[in-house]
Amino acid sequence: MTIQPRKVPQPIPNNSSCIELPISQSAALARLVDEVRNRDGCDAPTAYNRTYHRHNR
Amino acid sequence: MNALAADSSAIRIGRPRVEDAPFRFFFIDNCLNAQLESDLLDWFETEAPWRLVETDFYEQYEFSLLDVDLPESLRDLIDVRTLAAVRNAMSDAFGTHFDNRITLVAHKLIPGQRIAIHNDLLDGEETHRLTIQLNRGLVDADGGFFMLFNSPNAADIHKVFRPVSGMALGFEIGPDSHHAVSTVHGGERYTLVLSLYAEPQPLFPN
Repeated sequence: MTIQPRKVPQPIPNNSSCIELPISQSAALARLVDEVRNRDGCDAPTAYNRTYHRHNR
Repeated sequence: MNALAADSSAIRIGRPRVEDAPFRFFFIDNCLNAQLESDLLDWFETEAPWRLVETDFYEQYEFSLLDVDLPESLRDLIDVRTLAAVRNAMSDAFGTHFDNRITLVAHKLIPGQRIAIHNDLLDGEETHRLTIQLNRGLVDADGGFFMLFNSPNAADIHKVFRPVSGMALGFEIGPDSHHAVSTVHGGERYTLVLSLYAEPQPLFPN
């Protein structure tokens, strides 16, 4: 049996953490937008009021 | 005290350039000590006491690092000098004085989990956050992008950040600090989240 070496942190190709927005026309970006919408049918007004959780308090 | 604490380099923020729009934020790469980063990942993947939290707009695993018995190799992360250095660096970056309170929680997102757009604003509570990414090399297909928005509209994207391990994003919490994390499709996406509290501004400054 071959033991696989454990993965260690590696920078991804094109290692810039910030993606600039020429990708704004892409289907990939449209999917991201869909993924982060609030799903109560009233995205913008409720998003404004969203607060974060209480971190174990 | 071990060697890591001695040079206060568990978390390195330096003097980042703070952007003002759509809300005040900065990002920097490689802010974590490499050995600490590796040890944290090992512990997160094996023994860390993750607890699943579900709400209407996110689902993730989390726990407070200040409320657990950390392995010796990780204690520099919560050393008072480390936390003081973070507080000072955030104070310099944002021109804000913080009180002594600070929280440090860990988040884990696995495939299928995401955090919808929100602003973190809670009146009278934490005012600034520093988030630090940790993972074993996520690729774009794995998702988990950190997204900033110009408005409450999820389509009104300002910037998208890859969750590159060691990358830190600090921001000032306010009505306009809309952000989100896109769905994770592969791997495990860990985040350290430090929260700070600005001292109240005097009503009648001298």
